[in-house]
Amino acid sequence: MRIVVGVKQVEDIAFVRYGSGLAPLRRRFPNPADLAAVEQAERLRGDSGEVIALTVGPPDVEAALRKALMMGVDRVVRVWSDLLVGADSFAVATVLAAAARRLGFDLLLLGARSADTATEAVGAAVAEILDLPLVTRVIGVESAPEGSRMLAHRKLERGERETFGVSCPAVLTIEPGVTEPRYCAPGWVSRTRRGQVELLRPEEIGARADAFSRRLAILEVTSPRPRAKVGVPVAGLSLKDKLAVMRGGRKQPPAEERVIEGPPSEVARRLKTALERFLPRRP
Amino acid sequence: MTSGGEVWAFLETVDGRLHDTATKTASEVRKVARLLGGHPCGVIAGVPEERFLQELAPFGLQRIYALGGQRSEPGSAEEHGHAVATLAARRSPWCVLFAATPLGCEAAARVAVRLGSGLASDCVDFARAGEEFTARRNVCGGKAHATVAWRGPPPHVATVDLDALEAVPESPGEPAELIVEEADFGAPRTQLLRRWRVEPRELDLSEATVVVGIGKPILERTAALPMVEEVAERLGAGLGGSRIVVDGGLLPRERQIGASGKWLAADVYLACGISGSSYHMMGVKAVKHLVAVNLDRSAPIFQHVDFGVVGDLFEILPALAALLGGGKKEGENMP
Repeated sequence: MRIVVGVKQVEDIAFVRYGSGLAPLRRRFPNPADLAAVEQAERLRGDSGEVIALTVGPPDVEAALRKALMMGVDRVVRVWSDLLVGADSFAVATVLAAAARRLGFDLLLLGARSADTATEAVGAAVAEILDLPLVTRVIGVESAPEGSRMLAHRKLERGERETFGVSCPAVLTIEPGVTEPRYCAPGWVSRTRRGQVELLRPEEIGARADAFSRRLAILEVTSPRPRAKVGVPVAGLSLKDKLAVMRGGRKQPPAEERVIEGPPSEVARRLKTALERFLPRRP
Repeated sequence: MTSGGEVWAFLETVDGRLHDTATKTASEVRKVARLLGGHPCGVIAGVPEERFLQELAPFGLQRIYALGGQRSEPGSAEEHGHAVATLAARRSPWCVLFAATPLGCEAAARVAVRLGSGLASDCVDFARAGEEFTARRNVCGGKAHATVAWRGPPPHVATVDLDALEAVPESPGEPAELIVEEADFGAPRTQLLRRWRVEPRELDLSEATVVVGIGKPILERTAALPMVEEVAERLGAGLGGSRIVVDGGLLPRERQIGASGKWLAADVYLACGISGSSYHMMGVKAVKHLVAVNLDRSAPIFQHVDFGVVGDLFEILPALAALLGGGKKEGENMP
């Protein structure tokens, strides 16, 4: 079985400069979801399997590939062209799809989302371009007893889980935080530095340059602020409540009304009523 | 953009009812349509039942496109994406908005690829500056926002952050016009084998909808722990504790709530005997509704609560457990 894993370097929020775009890049680390994908690939490879880590980016993103080498992948491949500077997720998906097709694979594993831009679109876009089956937000993969089929367990919200059967080749996006990437000792770095990074150019793998036209442009990066609430009357509010509303919260009734005292049976009844009011509508 | 284009909301359905993001997405497109001078419309898979239309009526959609045609049940994101894309190619709306649910994220990306459109994911807000339509979206896990603009012709595709979405009903107006369109869902390529739900008791606290937290007092009355577990069970909640309880060995490390433990994103957090130190409060700041029971009226947690009870948790919780009654099925919240 040949498994191709997409990896990328992500921005460390502590070093993001507010302003135009997410560039220039200052301090980065390998995307946690991608490392979960590498780990998943290593567990799946079997005796005769091969795992290839693939990235799209300039030379300074090779740290993610080195990390993948430390975790045990056989080959590392980087695709880059200056045409890709400022590429959006679809340009990246186009290149990833072309490169993965060129390398050939039974499974293509990608992180479900990156820790920085987090579009959660690349996996679906790659599957759409390659016209392959896709399962997103996967937390576990196993071979089905029969043939080339795989079982993929995915994590939905609020404790919901689903299991899908997919036949290979297929694309899976791996949810971060569930599959724990294996430990790599620092001393292993020197050994892996020698690992040769194969370089591909988009034109070599048949990715057309016109697919790189940006469909989405980042105008600026700012500190987060909640959206403006429309239709909340603030005229009668105190300064504190106005600030709370501006920050996206809501006006709180005064503490005396929110906090009650009394005999246990009485307060338990009111507590139950309050909880019932707050609990979500049951699906 | 000239005037009069349509702004579409994808109205997700699940198990024969509207997903709770459907009305919220409808509210969102009404807002965006107002911003752009367009018409708010909805897209729904399958011909909707009358009660769906009634539920959506206060949200001001002008048209609802029902995607008729063959599809598997429950429809996959792939099928929904294809069907919406074929309709969008025919009708050329200005924008197509999805809620950032697992299905919405995947379907949105597929629609964008099929239409050659830009996709802005996890948007928090939309704005218009002159002729340019922009979106503010979460980056770096919501610790920063990026303002993005679509390049190229519409339709512009976006997914909207689930926390930013809110249902804002308007006074009931004209009901939406229902237009049934034949759509191509394609054939599903993945096979759903099993669907299940992790019991609240075993669910990771960061994923739980309802959480009960227990604090220091339990260390002096460890025999009362089963009673607290009972309350959690009856609320369909996960049980966690403050650091001191975990350090005391009553709960495992993965049940610790706070900055150095689990960060909650629950709808309801019931904190029992927890004073609310700043490290604990950091871990629960994303909780939608905070409810606390504490002996000390001056405890800092009462500054943050939506509802608080001053009293002894060892008297109040058993009374609450009795009121909640037994016989709750696993995975269920209260009616």
